[in-house]
Amino acid sequence: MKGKNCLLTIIMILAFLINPSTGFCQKSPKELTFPPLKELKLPKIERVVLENGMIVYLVEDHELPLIEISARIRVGSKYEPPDKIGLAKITGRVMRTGGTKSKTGDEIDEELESIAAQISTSIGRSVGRAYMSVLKESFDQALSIFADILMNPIFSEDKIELAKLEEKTTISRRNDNVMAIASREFTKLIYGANSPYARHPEYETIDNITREDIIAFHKKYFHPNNVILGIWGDFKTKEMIKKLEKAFKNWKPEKIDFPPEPKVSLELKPSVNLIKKYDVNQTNIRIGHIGIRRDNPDYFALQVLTEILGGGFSSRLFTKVRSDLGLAYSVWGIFGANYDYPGMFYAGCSTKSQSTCQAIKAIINEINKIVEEEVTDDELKLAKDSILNSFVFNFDTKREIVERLMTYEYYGYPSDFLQRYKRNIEKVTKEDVLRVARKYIHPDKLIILAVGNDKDFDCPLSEFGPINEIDITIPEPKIKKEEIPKATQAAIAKAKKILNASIESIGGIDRLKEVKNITIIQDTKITTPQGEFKISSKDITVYPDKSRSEVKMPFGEIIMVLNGEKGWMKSPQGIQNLPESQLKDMKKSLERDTIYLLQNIRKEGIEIQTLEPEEIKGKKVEVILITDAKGNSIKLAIDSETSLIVRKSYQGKTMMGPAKLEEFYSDYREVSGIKIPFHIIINSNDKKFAEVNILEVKINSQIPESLFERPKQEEKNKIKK
Amino acid sequence: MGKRKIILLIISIFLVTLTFTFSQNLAEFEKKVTEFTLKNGMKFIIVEKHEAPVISFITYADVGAVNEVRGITGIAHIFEHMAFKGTKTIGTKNYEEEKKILDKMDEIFLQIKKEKRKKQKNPEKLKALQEEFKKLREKAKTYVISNEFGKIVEEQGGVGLNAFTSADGTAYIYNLPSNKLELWMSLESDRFLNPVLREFYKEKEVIMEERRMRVESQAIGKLFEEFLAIAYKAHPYGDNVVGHMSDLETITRKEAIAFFKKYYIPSNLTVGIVGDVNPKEVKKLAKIYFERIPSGPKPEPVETIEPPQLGERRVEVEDPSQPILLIGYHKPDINHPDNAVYNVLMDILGLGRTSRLYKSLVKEKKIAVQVGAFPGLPGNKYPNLFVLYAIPAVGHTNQECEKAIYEEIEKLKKEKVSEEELEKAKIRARANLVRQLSSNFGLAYQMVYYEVLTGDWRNLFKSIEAIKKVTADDIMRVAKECFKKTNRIVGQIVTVSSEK
Repeated sequence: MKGKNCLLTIIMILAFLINPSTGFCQKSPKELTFPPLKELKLPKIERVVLENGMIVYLVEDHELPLIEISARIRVGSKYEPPDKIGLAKITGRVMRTGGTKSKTGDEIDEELESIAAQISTSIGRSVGRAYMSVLKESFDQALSIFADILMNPIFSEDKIELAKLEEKTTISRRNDNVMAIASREFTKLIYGANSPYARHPEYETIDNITREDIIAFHKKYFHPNNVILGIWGDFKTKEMIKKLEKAFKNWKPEKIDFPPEPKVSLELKPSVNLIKKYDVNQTNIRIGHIGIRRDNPDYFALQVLTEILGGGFSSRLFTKVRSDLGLAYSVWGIFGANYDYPGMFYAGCSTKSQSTCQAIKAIINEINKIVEEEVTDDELKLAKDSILNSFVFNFDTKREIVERLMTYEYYGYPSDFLQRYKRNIEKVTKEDVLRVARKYIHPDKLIILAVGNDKDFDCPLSEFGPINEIDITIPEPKIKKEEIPKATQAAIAKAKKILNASIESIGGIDRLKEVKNITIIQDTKITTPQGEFKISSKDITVYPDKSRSEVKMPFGEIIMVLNGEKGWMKSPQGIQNLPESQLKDMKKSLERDTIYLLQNIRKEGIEIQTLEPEEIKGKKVEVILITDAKGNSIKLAIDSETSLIVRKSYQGKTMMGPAKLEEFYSDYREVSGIKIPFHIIINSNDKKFAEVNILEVKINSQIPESLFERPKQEEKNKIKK
Repeated sequence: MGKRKIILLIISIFLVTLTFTFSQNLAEFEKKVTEFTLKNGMKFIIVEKHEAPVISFITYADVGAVNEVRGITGIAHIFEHMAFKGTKTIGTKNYEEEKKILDKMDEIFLQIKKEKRKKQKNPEKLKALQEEFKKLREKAKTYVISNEFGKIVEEQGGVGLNAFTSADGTAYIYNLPSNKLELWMSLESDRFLNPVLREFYKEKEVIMEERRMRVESQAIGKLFEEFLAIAYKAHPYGDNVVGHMSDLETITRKEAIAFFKKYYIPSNLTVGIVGDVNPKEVKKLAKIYFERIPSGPKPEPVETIEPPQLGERRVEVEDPSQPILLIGYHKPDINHPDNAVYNVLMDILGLGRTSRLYKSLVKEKKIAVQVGAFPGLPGNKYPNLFVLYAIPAVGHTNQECEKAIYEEIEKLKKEKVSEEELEKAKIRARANLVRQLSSNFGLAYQMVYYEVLTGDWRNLFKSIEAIKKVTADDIMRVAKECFKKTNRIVGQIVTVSSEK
């Protein structure tokens, strides 16, 4: 066909002699020869060290009126304590948002956006970064802000709160994306769940972080001698050095004691892992084990191997799993190598649930092949050509060139590492590829992870080995346990005395013990983020183990009943047994009831002690800690003058999740000889959550047992009547 | 107050200098641009950039999912995939023989479809047909040189080989070292002159996996599909680019070839080339390689007009994922005089940390962690949607976010925006353009996009002039016109517990 076309053109030229492009015809790619590539004009790069020790790379680029800065700071989340995971990330974030000694974060936002400048800061696992991009005209203004952010961040409390909220939101959403789940959990399988190279924050570790931690973390690592800065764009190098000296002149070098680098275990522990996800129809597969560091001399041969196994369009995995079998849209296989710690060897793909095993087998088959036999000459040539012919793209932007030099310096690699890379790739042979494959790839020691709907898999995953099921449920935040001083004999004795006085002033222990049941009718105003709403309710408690709440809601009535070890609820949707967790909450709630508490105060296993006295609304109160046999504790604040309970605090739950709850009591009135507070304010995590006005209280009225029994069938009851 | 005035002063000084440099830049920039149209109607736009010996190429076909009709949704994207499968000379060991098998496969595929539709099922016949199809597929495979097109590009040092299909168009991209201009000419012209849709039925399975990955296995993918579906009852913008699963299953190779023949005519193709090139050389080679593609009639544009909504439309996606909120309003296309006003509205409402939505929902109320606005869903060629979105913070709801967003929208209708805000939006539009100019690919894409959608690549620069002319009155007028409840679509992810 090509021949014909060409011939036709020549005939036409000969016949009419009017085609100006004499001698040309279309050539197929195989017929083409190319002129040598123009010699690469490498930009002039200046490396200077400022007086305070900061290393600076500069490259002029006058194409556009733009200047950009990128900085690396030797810091990372690998240095944060394990109970405060998230500290580095939040520090990196709030540096930018939390303001400096001279400006608030919001003022900085306004100023930067009004000149269309961008500044960002972040801290990753093993590097801290800062970036700035600004039109040349506003460079000085932006630089002074950039320097201010690096040197003088104040980490305002409100922006820390915001960053924590964002981080917690990220936690709450981390199981929403299958691919993210697979990456996260596979990394944990490779390095170990607690490794600084794999671990991730939890609600609890975020809650543990204080502003003091953040300030200290910044103070420890952010010094000019710990910074490498790159700058490129429309400027004159000499002038720029002066500007940088000036901007950072008040930043003094300081010696930094770095914690030891985290260890990475190279031991291979094969396993088959499953994460069940029933709302997806595609399985995310990861297969691999630990890899190498980039300074390993075999890195180059492994790069060629990666190109052949799982690189681009021409790789074995792409050809087999995607083109031939049609099993996946995205498929890959990479022998990873990090600069400062061993990377991961991993292959994977996403495939429909019904072809999960087929895809795993196909991938493992390719992994086997690469260690069994030499690659072909064609494959080797294609892989090397692909790397070498595209080498020029390592130099197509100034940013890449500068960032690469900074990276090499940061990790202590020679500045000509890229040139060495090229020379070494050229040397790689088929024998090298097979040798490194056998040395570093272990098909019998693979870690396999599948995230998906295992009900639809084409074979039980156990075909690959015993299954380790991974639970990815997000742990609820634990409420911080307060430090409780050890109870002294004196504290116990004092607590007894205060409680006795309180029992007396409420009505005396005999009267309290005579209370068999109590009925309370009340109005409650609840404050939620959506606004306030009111509910009316009737609560009946029969001591020691029955309660019934009838709550009127806008959409109908809800009845919740606890009857010993059982419980049920009735709503407009029907009747159902209370789920285990709700049953537990209702029991706990009954055990926190003041009358229940005081009736049982002298029972075995209940421990009491005093804590430091406090002040509530200017009045001195004694604080008593009551701990039951299960370890649940409650604090009572007792007015020193009246001996009445003015506050009860405990760890409970609201619809927003676990919370520190405090109930403030006032307006005590006597009912059947017992003093009952008729007004209650409830705080949740120090914020007002509810206000209760009690309308009516009845003690020891006739309570039919049937109120606590689960109605069998509503219809039948009606017929009986 | 004092502080604000100073900022305003800085802005106006800045604006003068920036405007100056900009018009200078545009004139400067035009010197680097060469454009020409081949006899068959194919258009080329070339930008010389000699900093590094590399070239970025983009071929933009003015055909996207919007040109599909029901029953063949996803076909524009299917063809995009097929354009990597080679030609009569690339990817095959013997095209003449291969063709016979491919044609036979098409026949059997039609018979299988027919058999499946029959009311009187004949499982044996179906099975026999499927067996035959499988055998043919194995036979066809023996002629295929797998991914040869991609291999040639990669072997010669090409990077970024890719393509993407949107509602409006389809773009084919890669970059080569600058001594390989003719390689692109050869490969790309052959690609659209002699495409062979081989491995068609396997590739459809790959595309189904792509659909499962992008749409069916993530809540946000599901939400966007549902959202568009209720936003359009008449216009094809309502169908997702990737297509519906049953269409992907039943589309035939013949249908894909017919689609190609209708839409991939030279006058429907525009090429952007940015990098270390000599435009004369480009023109010479373009004539040799691309003028051989025969011209054809320019396909008719989509004529369906989406009728006005009769009331607000709402849709929910129940999913174990956390809540996400999308709000859309119908707005005109990119060539409407108010297009610049919508761009300013996006900036003021939803771009960056000082935008109104970010300040209200993230910084002050702390009910969302991400919030923003963008015009142009799912495309810009035809009237489309202005979209606002929010990712609620943990413990907060879509409802809270929705309410807070409406509060900000109502303010825009009642109070004029300040001069400061307006100036800020204008400066940022300019700065964003400068940043786009710094990437070869970004530049090539933007220029070709503006050329195709607005008729002239210069509109990329002129859009900045248009933004400069936007007034506070314009903003209020457009806000009142557009942000009406009856013009609104609301979509959200409602969290439900996962089935065990």
